Amino acid sequence: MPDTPLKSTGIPVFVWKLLEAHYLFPAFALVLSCFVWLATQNDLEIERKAMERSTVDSIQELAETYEAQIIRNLDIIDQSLKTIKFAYEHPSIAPSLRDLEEKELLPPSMIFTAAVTDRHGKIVSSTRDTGQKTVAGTEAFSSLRSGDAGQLVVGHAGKEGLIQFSRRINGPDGRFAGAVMLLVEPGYFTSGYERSRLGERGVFALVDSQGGFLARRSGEEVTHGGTASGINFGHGETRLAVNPWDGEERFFQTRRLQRFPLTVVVGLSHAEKKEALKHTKHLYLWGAATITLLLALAASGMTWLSWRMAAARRRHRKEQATYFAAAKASLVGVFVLRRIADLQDATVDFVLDNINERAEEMIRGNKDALIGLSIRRLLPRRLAEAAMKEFETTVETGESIEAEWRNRHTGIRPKWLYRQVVRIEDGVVVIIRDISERKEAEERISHMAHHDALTGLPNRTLLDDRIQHAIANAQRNHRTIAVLFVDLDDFKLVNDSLGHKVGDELLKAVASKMQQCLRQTDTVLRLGGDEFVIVMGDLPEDTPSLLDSLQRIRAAVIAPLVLGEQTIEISASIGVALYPGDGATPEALLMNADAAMYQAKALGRNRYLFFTPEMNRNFQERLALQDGLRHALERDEFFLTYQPQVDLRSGQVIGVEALIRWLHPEMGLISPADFIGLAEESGIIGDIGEWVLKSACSQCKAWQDAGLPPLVVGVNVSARQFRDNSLIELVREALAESDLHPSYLELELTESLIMQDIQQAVALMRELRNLGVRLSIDDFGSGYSSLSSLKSFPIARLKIDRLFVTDLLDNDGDQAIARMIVSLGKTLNLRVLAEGIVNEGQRQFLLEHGCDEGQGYLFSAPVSATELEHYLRRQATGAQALDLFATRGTTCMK
Amino acid sequence: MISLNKQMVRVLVGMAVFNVATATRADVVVVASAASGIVSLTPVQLYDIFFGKSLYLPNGALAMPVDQPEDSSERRMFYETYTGKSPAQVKAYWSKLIFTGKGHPPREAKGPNALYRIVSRNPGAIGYMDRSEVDNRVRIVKIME
Repeated sequence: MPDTPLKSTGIPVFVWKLLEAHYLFPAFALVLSCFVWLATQNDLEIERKAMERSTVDSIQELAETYEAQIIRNLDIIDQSLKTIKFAYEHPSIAPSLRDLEEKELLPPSMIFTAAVTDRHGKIVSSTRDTGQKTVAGTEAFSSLRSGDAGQLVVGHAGKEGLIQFSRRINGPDGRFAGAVMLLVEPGYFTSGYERSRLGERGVFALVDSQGGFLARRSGEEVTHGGTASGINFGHGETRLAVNPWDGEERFFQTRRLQRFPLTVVVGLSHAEKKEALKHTKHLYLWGAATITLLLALAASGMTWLSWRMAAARRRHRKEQATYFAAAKASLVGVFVLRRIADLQDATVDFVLDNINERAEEMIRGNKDALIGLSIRRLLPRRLAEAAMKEFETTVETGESIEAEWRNRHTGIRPKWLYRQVVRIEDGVVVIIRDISERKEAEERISHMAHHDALTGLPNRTLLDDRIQHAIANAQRNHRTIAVLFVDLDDFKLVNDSLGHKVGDELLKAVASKMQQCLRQTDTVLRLGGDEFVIVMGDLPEDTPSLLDSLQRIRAAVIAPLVLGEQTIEISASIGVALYPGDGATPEALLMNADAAMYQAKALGRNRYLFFTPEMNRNFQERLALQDGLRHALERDEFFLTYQPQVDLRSGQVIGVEALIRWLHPEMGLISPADFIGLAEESGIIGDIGEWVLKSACSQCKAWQDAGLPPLVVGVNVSARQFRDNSLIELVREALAESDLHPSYLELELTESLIMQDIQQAVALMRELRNLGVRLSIDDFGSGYSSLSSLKSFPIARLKIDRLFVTDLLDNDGDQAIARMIVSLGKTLNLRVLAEGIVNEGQRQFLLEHGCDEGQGYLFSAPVSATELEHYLRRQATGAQALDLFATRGTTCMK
Repeated sequence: MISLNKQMVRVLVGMAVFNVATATRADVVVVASAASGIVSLTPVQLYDIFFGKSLYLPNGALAMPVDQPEDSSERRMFYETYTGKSPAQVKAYWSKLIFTGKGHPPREAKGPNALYRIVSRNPGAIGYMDRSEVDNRVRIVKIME
């Protein structure tokens, strides 16, 4: 059926609709029924005509027969009358009815009564007693008497309607002598009426010349009298008319008798005939009705079927149309495939039946070119086989199959595709959707979840996975992997001093630099903050190549970075753990790398360190240390050592630097390097600092009280203390408690400490200066001083970082710097002290270049208060301090 | 005065009844001439003869059935007894036959004497009369199977 309004021939659709089966069948049935009915009508008509014809024929025959019979009887009657008349007229005969009767010259007396009357009409003889005595006065008698035409007179007599036939008897003189009569019951003349032929309402009748019924019989009913007027008395032609005497419509014939003044009427009831026909008619009608009914049933059945099929087709079309309307507008490509099966219903092929626009786009094909092609022609063999398997499964189970796949077929544009195969009647529908966007979004989200937003490196969520991966690989190939824990040193400082933006940029730059040192197969992950983890897999079991990489990484990290206007230098502490030696699981490797990293930090940072089992121990020790630290103060485990600061020229001790030491009951002597960091972390530094300050002040005072030459005691101020608001108060307190004059207290502040917040630093320094204490900058040269701000510092002295002193004699650069610092100090009217002088050469050089003071092992290691006292006394007595302390092997560490 | 005792009443009544009975049961017998040789007829044969269905006697002679007068009791009784037909029926039967010319009814004898005369002249004559009228001029024909 077309789904366009006009077919190509231009015949409007409704005509086609009419030709649809469910209109055709009823129409056909109707037409057929009409035929049947027409045929039946025709047949009935034929029957009727046949009936009519046969009726007419019957009547003809009956009428002729009846006429003949009547005539015969009449002849007999007349003959009898003539015989009796002869007997009575012949003079030589002595007439006697009885004799005549005996001689069988009279008709049967059962029926006929013969009688003779005299000229007066009196009955003189009869074969039977009629109950009448005379016929005088009767019309018949009168007419006989009045003339002699030699006619037979017919009339009726009496109440019973006896028909009377009479003739005139003449006397010898020819005069009227009487009449001879034969009387018959009227029924006699209709006794030939056979009901089988005439029915109940046919008619046999004998009519006299006046038109009156002498006898009439219909069925069983015999009547006489009445008139038959109104009937045209033709002769011998059968007519159909209503007989007026009883209102019955009959085919009838009237026959006027030639020799007798009578007419014979024979008729058959139309109704009766029709009655007879009725049976046939019923049969025919029933037959027709039955056929019609059957046709109607058949037609309805077929129509119903056809309707259902049409409805199903409509539904199907609608579904298809809906489907395609949806498919057309949608973003999915729809492929409709028809299943081809063999006789055993095994699948042979799938053929493309239809595709929508989007599908066309997807495969960049032309719909018309592709429709009808087998799946084997549309896809390469393997894919076609796989596809067919999927289709078959769907067809069998009725469940749709969904799948996502990455497209490798260059003919189709999208990268990620989703397909769904759905069963339909006699085939499958394949829906394909481009899910590239979604997939990409998913990937992006996944990436975001697993990667650090700032650096783009994988984040800790992937950490375990990466390490596992590397382990698995290493296991397979008998290789090693290295897990590096990288912690940027003093990153916090940079972040706080230069701002977060710079900090972020720094992180990004470091990440990128590290990556550049690594291979494709290595991974850098950002754990967070300033921590990174590097996983290096597939390493050979020896370490040289690893060392190479480590050095490169370290070098890369410490290389100066230019960020905007700033040049930043930063270093990292790196802990290295190896698989399988340092652990077989990601957790173990990480933990050990972490421990190594801490150790690296503890050892001075800016280095890499391989994990050793001791580090774990160290780690444990660290924890123990931390724990001990908490109680150290109250347990009085701290003590101060003092390192003399001497005038380079004279060698005189001009001051001391107070240094804290910790004597742990179990772990022994612990240098500040090992615990100050911990103290700062755990916040104990405040209390320790307070103790140091107060102790130093007291000691200094004590020396003064002891009569020793007055010294300035230098105390290091930690970053924590410096930023603490209560520092001023603390100093004041310490001075007050110890009763030390402020000018004998020197607070040593590190360069980087001040530089973090110059303004705050200057303000604080001013305040401290107001208290009367001295200030100096410790470790000068290793930080980021702003030379201009240096001017505004209320400081008295610069202490050159030992870094520059150590290689002084070999390193031109260090020499230059040292000289520079000295001249800077000079320019600013500051005293300059050099730290870490260990040999004469250094002293010489420094002295030559204007450095005032020095501190170091050349002169003395840090010593206890008692020993210093001793030294001072010796000095006071003039002994050479230099030598004395140089040979002393006091086990003190700086 | 005749004194009527029970016994006498009974006898009188009995006689009256008897008379009536004998009157109604005026026994009609079928008769034929001695010369006809007919001794017996089956009822069917008798029927056929009197209704014109058979023109011959069993012995091959031409049959001539003879009726009694139309209104006679013998006639009525004969037809009733031997044919089961009423006079009207008989009349109707013959009416049709006569009219159509297909037959003629039996002769009518005007009385027993007439019958005797007919029987004596016609060997094939079969008639009927009251038993009491039968004499040796005719032979009673037994009607039986």
